Amino acid sequence: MKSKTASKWILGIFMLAMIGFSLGGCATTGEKLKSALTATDRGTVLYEDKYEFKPPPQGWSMMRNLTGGDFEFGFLKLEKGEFPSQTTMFYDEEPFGSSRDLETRAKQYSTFFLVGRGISMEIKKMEKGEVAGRPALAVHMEGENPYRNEKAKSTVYFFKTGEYVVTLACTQWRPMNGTWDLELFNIFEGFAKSFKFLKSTFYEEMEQKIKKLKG
Amino acid sequence: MHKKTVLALAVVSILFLLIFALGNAWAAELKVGDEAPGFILSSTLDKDVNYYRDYYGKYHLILTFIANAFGPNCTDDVIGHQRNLYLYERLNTKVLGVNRDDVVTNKQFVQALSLDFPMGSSVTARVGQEHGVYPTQEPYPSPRFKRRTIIFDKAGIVRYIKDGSPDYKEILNFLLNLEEEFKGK
Repeated sequence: MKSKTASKWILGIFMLAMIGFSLGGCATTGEKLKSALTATDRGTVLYEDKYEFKPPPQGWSMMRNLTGGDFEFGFLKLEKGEFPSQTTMFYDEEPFGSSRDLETRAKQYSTFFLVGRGISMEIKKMEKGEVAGRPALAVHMEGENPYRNEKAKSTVYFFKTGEYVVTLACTQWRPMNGTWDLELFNIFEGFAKSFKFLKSTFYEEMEQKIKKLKG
Repeated sequence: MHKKTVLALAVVSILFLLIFALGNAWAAELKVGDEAPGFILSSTLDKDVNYYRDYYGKYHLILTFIANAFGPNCTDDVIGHQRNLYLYERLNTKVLGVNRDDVVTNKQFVQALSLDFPMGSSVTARVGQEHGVYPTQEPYPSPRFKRRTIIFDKAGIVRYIKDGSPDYKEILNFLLNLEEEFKGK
């Protein structure tokens, strides 16, 4: 009987310790994520020491890619309504496709972007613009997969750092009978139009280093 | 009778372990610093690609082994290299994708992704065995190659091996240093 009580105590202490470790872990993660953005007195934020932009209002969660992959960072808004009702916007250093011609890249992007969801995106409009002080191509596309009851609408800015193509993208998902929330695209416009590089990107630096090496 | 059964089981177990160990040794292990094994493969260029004829002494070579054409990760791997191809060219480096698909399938793959580098078809397993990408042990023994990036320098020495998704920035930095090392040679 005594040993059973002792076991319960040991188990209790162990579980408390585990909860403590878990909370400790969460706190660390929270701290790291919080420190990624620094507010300026210009109404913008700095992301690490690399980018400056106007952040979305409250209600958007930040997404960071800590292990490398499709995008570097972005924001997600989970919305009311039937799944899938959400909007994302992000900066992507490895956008789909490979062409360095912006128009060709936009076509490649639309082909591959949501192919995994069975959605073929159709380009509705392309227009020339400017992002981060560089010429950009704004591409508006939409697609749907009635069999999975979902549709998507995207605005993507294609532009270059050096000769390398990167994107700022906003995508909204809805069930087939859902209505688009265009106000969220306006928030993305604020994010994209205010986006600035604070220092040379990896690709700009690499191009310079190669030029120097080759004399 | 009981003893005989135990003995038989022991012999079978030892044989199984031996086969397993040999299998692992066979799949192993190309190392950085080894001489490039070399290869001749059917390719999407409508001719064979031959390491010692086409690359050795002229270019550094990125060999990107993928499991199969049109697989999602494999597609990402080769598209990533295509994105950086303009920089690889400035660093005197060529790319060759290798998988076990036939040339016809690979031609469709190259065309669909607008790849400017060839895919080599290794329909037999030998090239995979020599480069440590076959047979794969996990999650199940598979006839497909595992995803691996290997870089041979111009002098035919293995300089870089990495499994899984390519780290394109690491590869570019690596090639920059490699080209610096070979400058004037």
